[in-house]
Amino acid sequence: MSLCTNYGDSNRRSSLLRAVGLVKIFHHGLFRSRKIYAVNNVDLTLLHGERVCLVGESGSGKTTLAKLLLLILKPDKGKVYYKDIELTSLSKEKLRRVRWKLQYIPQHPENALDHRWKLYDSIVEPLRILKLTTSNEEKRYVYDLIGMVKLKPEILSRRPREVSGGELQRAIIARALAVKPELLIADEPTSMLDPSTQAEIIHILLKLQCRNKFTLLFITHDIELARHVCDRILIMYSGQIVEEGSIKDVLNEPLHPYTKSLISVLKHGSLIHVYDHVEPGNNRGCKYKHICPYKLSLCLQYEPPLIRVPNNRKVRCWLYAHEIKK
Amino acid sequence: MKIPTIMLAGILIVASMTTIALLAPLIASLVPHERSSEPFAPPNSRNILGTNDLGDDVFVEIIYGARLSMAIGFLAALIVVLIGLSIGVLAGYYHGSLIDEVLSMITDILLVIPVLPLAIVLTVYLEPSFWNVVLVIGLLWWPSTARVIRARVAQLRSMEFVSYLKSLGVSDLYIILRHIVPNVIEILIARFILAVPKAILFEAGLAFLGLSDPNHLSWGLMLHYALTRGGLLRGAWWTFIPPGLCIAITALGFMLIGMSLEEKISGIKVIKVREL
Repeated sequence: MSLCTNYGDSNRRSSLLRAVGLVKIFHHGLFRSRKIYAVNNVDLTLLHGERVCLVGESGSGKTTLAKLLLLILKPDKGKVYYKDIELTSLSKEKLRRVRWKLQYIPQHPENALDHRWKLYDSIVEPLRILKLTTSNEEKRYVYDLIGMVKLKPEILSRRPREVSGGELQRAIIARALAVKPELLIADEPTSMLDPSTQAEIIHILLKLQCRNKFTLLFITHDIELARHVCDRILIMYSGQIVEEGSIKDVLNEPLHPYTKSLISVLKHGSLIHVYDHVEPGNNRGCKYKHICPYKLSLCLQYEPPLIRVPNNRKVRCWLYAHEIKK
Repeated sequence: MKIPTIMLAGILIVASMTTIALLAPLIASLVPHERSSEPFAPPNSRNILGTNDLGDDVFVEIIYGARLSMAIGFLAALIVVLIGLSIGVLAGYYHGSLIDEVLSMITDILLVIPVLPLAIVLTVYLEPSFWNVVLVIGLLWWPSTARVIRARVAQLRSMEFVSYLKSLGVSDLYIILRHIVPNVIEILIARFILAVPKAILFEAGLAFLGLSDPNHLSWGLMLHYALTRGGLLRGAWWTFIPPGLCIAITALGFMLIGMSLEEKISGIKVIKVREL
C-alpha cells in the first residue's frame, strides 16, 4: 500500500523527537505498594517525515510511551527532546508553544471529542485556541480539511454519538491535522473499526502523511498492519523496546525471540502467550526470560542492553552479545 | 422527544402549585389572618375548607402558605446545587490532589452527620427567620450533590478530549467552563428538582416543631397551629389534612420529575410502575 516513495536514506534526516531513558512507574496496591514498570528505560528517535510503527501486545506500554512522548504523562525518569529543545524541563508556558506540533489520535475515538459539541466546533476548537486562522477563513479551512479525510459536510453539524465509528475517527484525524503538526502519533486508530473502514482510514492517513510530510508514529498490535504502514518498526515488550529496524529486515529476519514468536503467529496463526509484567520476586535479568526458548544463564542474571547490530538495527538480547565487542 | 407519563404527572402538579403560589392574591378572596367566620367552622359554602382556631379561612391560608413553601424550596435547592456544583467540579477535576482530599473530607464529614438534629440546633441558634431556614437547608444538603458531580467530573476528566485540550495548553478554567460544566448540567437539573421537595419537607418539619418565622405563613406552620391550638384535639380535620396533603402532593410532584430525569440520565429504572 506504499503511497509515496521514501525520500533518501534515513541516516541523512535530522531527528524530530528523541527520548532518552524514559521510565514510567505506576504504583499499585494499598498496603504493599507494588511497582509496575509501564515504560522501562526507553530510548527512541523519530526522524523528520518518517513512518514508524510501534508494535507490541496489549499491556506492553505502547500507549503509556506515546503519552510520555507527548508529555501528556510526566515521565518518572528520562528526557524528551523536540529537535534540540528539551521538553521535559520546559515551563508550562514554553511547553504550550511547542506541544501543539505533536498531535495524537487516541485509541478510543468515542471519548476523544466532547459529546455535547458538534463535530464542526470540535474540529475548529484547536484552531481557535491557537488562533491559527481568522474567523473568515475558518469555515473554508475546515471544509478543505474534511474533504481531505473524505467526510461529508453534513456530518459537521452532528454530535459524536450521531455518527459512525469510521466517521468519528476521520473527524479526529481532521482535528489533529488542522493545526499542521510535525508529528502525529496514531494510537491503534483502527482497532475499533471493521476491516473495510480500517483500510480506508489507513489509506487516508498515509496519503496525508505523504502530502504533509509529517512524522507518523503508528501504534498497533497487528504486525501485518505495520507491514503496510511503516518504514521502520519498533517492537515493544514489557515496557521496553526489544527490537528496532527497517520493517523489511525485521519481518524477513527477526532477531529477538519475542519478535520471532510474533512473526510465527503471523505465519502460522498460533496464539501469543499471556504474560505478567508486574515486578515478580526475581526481577533480575531479561524481561522475556520466563518464556524465552533460547535463554542463557546470563539472561537470568543481567538485563540485556539494546545492542547495535548491522543494517542499522538494534536488539535487546544476550544472544547478540558478540556484537557489542565489535 | 416523548415525555414519560410519570414526568408529565409531576410537571402538572408542580406547575399548578407554582401557579397557585404566584397568583395567590388573585385566587384567594381574603388575605391571611383576616377573620372570616367563627373559630373551627367546618367546611361550608362560604369557607370551602372551613376555618381555624382564630376563625381564619383555611383555603386562603393554604394558598398563601404555598408561596413560602415553594420559595424556600426553590431558594434552598439553588444553594444546594450551586455549592454542590462548585465543590463537586473542583474535587472531581483535581481528582486525587490535595484539593480533592480536603473537599472530599469536608463532604464526607457532612454526609455522616445526621442532618436533621444539626439543622434544628442551627435554626434555633440563628433564630428561625425565612433566610436562616433557607441557608441552613442549603448549607447542609449539598454533600450528596457534590458527591455525584465529583464522580461524573472525575470520569470526564479522564476522557481523551480533556487530555487533548490540556496538551494544547488551555487553562483549567477554560476546560471546566466550556467542557466540564455543560456535561454535568443534566445531573444538576435532576439534583435541583430533587432538592426542592427535600427542602419543602424540611421546612414543614421545622415549622411544625415551631422553628420557623411565625410572621410568614407556611403549610408547616399551619400544621403546628393545628397541633398546638387544639385543631387536632377537637377533631377539626380541615385544619391539618389540607396542609399535610399539599406538602405531600407538592413533594411528590417534584420527586416524580426528578426521578424520571435521573432515570433518563443514568438509564437505570428507579420508578417501577406497571405499564397501563
